[in-house]
Amino acid sequence: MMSVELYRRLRDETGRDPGWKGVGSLRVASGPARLRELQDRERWARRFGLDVGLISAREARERFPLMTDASLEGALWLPSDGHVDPAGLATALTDGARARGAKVLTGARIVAITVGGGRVRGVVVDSGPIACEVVVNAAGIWAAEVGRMVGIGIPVVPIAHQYLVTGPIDGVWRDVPVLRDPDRLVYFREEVGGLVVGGFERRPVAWGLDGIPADFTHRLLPPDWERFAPLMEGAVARIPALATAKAIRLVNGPEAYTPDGEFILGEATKVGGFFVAAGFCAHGIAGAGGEGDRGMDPRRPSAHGSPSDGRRPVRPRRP
Amino acid sequence: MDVGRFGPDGREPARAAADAIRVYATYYDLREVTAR
Repeated sequence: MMSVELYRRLRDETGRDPGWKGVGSLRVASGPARLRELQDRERWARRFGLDVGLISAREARERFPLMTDASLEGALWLPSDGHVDPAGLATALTDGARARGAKVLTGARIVAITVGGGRVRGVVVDSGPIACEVVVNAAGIWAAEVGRMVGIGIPVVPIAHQYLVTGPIDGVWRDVPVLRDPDRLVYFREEVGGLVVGGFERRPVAWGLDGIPADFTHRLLPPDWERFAPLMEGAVARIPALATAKAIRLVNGPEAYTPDGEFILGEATKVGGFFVAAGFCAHGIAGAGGEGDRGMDPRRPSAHGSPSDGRRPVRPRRP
Repeated sequence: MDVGRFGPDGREPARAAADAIRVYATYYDLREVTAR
């Protein structure tokens, strides 16, 4: 909720459009068990003041007509949801930071962190040392590497995530909602008149466990069509028009996951001033606005003792 | 990434990676949704 509020106001605050599209989202149920789960989710979300509602299969198709009604039981409609351009968002956020006095270094590789008296004293980048009192390790798949610079183990595992970008499809318009079909393991959103089709396959692949190459910057992994095939099958079953859509590219990139599925968030116990915001398990953009505000402020009670707390012991997620 | 010093609970690297893969593979599984 806080992320949406932030992304909505960034253009006015910074003069830079982050590419936020508040198109809403549908999470569909393809069976009665999922429908019961969506009912629970609706009750749970409303407790936190989130405007969300369960709608019928017919209403869901009115919002996303390309969707077939095969085994469609209903959907959870979240009108405040949407999607944002990651590059545009990063640019708008850095513009906002600069306007408040921040200096942004790009292309600088961190090589060491200086610690003294149990606290962070500075960082060393390849162009020289920088004195500081606080370091925020938001290094994503590199978070473990940065953590080791202060002797802290950070449990992030890069896992290769793929999504397909299609050419334009008749019936897809700019403001079509985000669609998630968890029973088919897939999600969809609009991009340049076509769809982005992604998902979470049953046999994912970890990457970089023996070290991330030093030059892995602004790079992707080779597309793995074979691994994507089962997801595509589910996607076509929900949106038959995809069967004849032109595939523009299959994007394959590593994302930081954790062994218990929770974020690594908060100030380290061993090193004062060393904060971690990593392992967002595909929720980096969705969570950044709220976690940046609450998770990084040690004065706020929610920064410690929560499941996202960097100090927590890591336990396996409950089945 | 060297996962040899993985995790605040001293979890074995291979086990940690396997657990993270399980998190990903069950991302869309049915959940019991309750307020924490």
